Amino acid sequence: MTQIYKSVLLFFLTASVLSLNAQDLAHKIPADASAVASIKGTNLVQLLSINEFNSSFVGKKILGKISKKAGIECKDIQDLGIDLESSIYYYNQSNDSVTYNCLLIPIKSAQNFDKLFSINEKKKMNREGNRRSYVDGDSTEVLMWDEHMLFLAKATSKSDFFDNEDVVKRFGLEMPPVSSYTTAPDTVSTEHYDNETSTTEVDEAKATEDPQVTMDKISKAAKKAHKSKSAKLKGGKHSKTAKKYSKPGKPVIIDEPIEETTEEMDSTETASYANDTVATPSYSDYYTRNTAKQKRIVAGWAQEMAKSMFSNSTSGSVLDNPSYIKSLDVNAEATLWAPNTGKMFSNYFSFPYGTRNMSFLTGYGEFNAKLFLEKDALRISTELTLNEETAASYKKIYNAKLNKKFIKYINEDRMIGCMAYSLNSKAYLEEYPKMLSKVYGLYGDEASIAADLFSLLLDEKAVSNVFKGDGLFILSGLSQKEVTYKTYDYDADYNGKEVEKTKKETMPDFLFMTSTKDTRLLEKLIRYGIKKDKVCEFKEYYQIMLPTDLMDLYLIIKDDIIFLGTNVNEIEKIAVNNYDSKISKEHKNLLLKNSAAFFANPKLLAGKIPVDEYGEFGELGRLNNVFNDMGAIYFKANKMKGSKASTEIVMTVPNNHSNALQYLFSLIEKSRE
Amino acid sequence: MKNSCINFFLILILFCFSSCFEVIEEINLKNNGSGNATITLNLSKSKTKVASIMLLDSIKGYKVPTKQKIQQELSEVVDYLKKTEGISNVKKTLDLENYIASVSFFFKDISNINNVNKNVLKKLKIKPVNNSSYTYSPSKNIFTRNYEYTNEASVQYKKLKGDVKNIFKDAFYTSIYRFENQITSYNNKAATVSKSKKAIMLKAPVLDLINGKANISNTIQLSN
Repeated sequence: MTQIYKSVLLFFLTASVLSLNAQDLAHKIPADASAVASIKGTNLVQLLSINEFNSSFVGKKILGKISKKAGIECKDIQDLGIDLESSIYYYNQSNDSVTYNCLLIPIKSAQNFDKLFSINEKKKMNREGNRRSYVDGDSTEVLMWDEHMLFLAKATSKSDFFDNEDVVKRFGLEMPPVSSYTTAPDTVSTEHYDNETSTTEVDEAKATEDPQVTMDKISKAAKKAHKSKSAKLKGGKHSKTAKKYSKPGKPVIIDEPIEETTEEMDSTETASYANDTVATPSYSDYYTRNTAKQKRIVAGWAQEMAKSMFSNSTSGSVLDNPSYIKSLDVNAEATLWAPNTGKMFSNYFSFPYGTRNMSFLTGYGEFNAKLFLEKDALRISTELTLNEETAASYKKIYNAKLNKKFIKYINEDRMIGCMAYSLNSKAYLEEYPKMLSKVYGLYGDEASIAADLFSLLLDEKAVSNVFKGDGLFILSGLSQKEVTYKTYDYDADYNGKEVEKTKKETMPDFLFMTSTKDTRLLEKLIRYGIKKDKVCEFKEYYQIMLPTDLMDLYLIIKDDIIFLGTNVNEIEKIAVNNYDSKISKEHKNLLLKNSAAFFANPKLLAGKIPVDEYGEFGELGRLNNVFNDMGAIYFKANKMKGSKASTEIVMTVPNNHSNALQYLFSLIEKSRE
Repeated sequence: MKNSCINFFLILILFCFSSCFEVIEEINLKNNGSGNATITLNLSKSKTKVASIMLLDSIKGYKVPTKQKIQQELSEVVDYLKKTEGISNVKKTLDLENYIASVSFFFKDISNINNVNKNVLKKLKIKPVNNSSYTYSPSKNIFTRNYEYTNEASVQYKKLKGDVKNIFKDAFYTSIYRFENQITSYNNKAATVSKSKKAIMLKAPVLDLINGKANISNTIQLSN
């Protein structure tokens, strides 16, 4: 029954997505995209009119930049020829050799878009039938469009792939010069180096040619390499079109090196270059040459890929993926979806050397985020699917509730914001080493032993009795404190004398509380601190003597709660059971019913930051304007549901704005006024 | 989570507001070209922020040195100076409560300082950001402080993250040169001469030095 229900639901979802707009370009997104983002034009245009956008700060800035680059005056976003009432898509497609970041934009008037490439001599488009393209000769970016679609692809090579010795040979690249690391330059064969440098000269000469000519050559070279008789494509479930470029997931591996066109070079030029460089082979020379060659290869792949987007290829699209379809929401103005969070991150970020064998995001599966721009709120929701093992660990860790007694110590009238979290510290200490051991991939066995050793040495239960694992941090405001500092006064003869002066420092006022069952260790520490003059004892509470005049910090243990705060009045109220609490039911539920929660009212910060601390009055004025116009902000990390972890951020829209998008634009305007 | 909470709070203190420091260069020059010099770095005015930074391992991707590491580095500089030709009586003071560090030493000839600057920076693995040198001609009684701006400082500054740049916003450089004879003329209009005319002071914002807007070169003519 559930299956039938799911299928019906899926069918309606798919139908609603596909019927949204006849020109919807989602079907162009490949099935193996590692991340897909979309912005729904229809909804945005309804929330903010074209005229409002054109006259906004953001609009003017964007149009100004476009006008400058294209050399034409562009005052209306509609003049660009983009279909603003359809969806725009971004996707990432990667493999072990290259990553493509692509944009799919629906076109309303290709003629209008053509105009952007009609004036600037350096930005001329190339036309092949209905398909137009523009490529920057010095980059791996390809822009291609026709009457219906604009496609932008930026290809980035992966160093791990191109550093591989086999790949270096296969593509006719160079290995790093040994001489630059270990031996003197005279150990390098002059003859060999002549050949290498002459090849580079060709690359550099080509880079200065007309971009289109260059790209055509690149494309031909790449095609030649790909179509080479001895070229072998490893992995083969892709369509014919897709095989022409390095298809993510299954890189094109070519056994034959790309033929360099050295013979086209002027011989005198070659000799001259060789003479210039042969005596000083260096890593930077090698790097420049190799990067140029890699760029050529990757640019060729990118162009082939872009062309394939305009062919009537029938290869699968992301719309065939039920998980993607399920992640869509008709009401969301923007969405982000990734089938595998770990893979997505590895495509965007290169982890530092030495951590490459580690899998930091093992156990993290599908991820999606949605942006809703509503009448009274801006909402961002996220959902992360974890694998069974990781989900089980997370459930144990977050199977905890915030201490209800914390609520007694909140007064919303004296608060700018607060943040609460609740986790089971015993489960955390038990599960964390296990989770960490999975990160160490190749060193899994060693990491597992280390995790066991950690558990053996640590009495998780004892630690969890000292710190249960929940906490509440309240930011009550900012206060000024007089602090001393040393400087120099000079007499009439400029003899310096060290003097002590005072100045006002602004510090945050806060109160932090955390639950405890066993205070013995803490009490011992306090006694030790008193002996060492690091803690000062008062009747019901303690003052921690911090280095310098950092701040006044007070500590009190009461009702199995450790309180740490900067305001002595608040601490005294807690000590004598006279704390005047005040919290709305809504905020109380937010803090108590979630694993982590946060709420803040930035409006209360307006006017509280002193000018002398912030620096410039103008900047502070703008900041105050923004704070004054901001509504409350909420964040919550929901309790785990099945294998899904979800969060939500809400920015409430003040009454004087008609919807969240207009509110956002207004905040940007305010920050510039 | 608890750590994130503390770090968030500390970063809030550090980067909401501007901070400041001063660098003071003092040279007492005798007529024969020898003398003593003191370089002071005073972060006392920002000590609450520095103390906060010192509680962290790293901030915004920059490693925060421990007190021990600072002491060790300073001791190494002193040891290195002691071995430098023409330099003697090297002393250091380090006040880690107010965050003031200073190094003083005697020099046989003012030209000895030129090597000191170059070599100490090399020792600390810091790329020199300007071409700076001192000369004194006992026969002509002319003291020259040469300062040639290179955009290296600006390049390095631009590489810093936005908030970190604020540290330089209110930072000042002060130079004080004291002589046995009176100053008869000098060519840097930003400098001021003391009442006795035996000392000269020049103050410049560090940011102006970084951007090449301030020039601290000076040619000072002393009386016979």
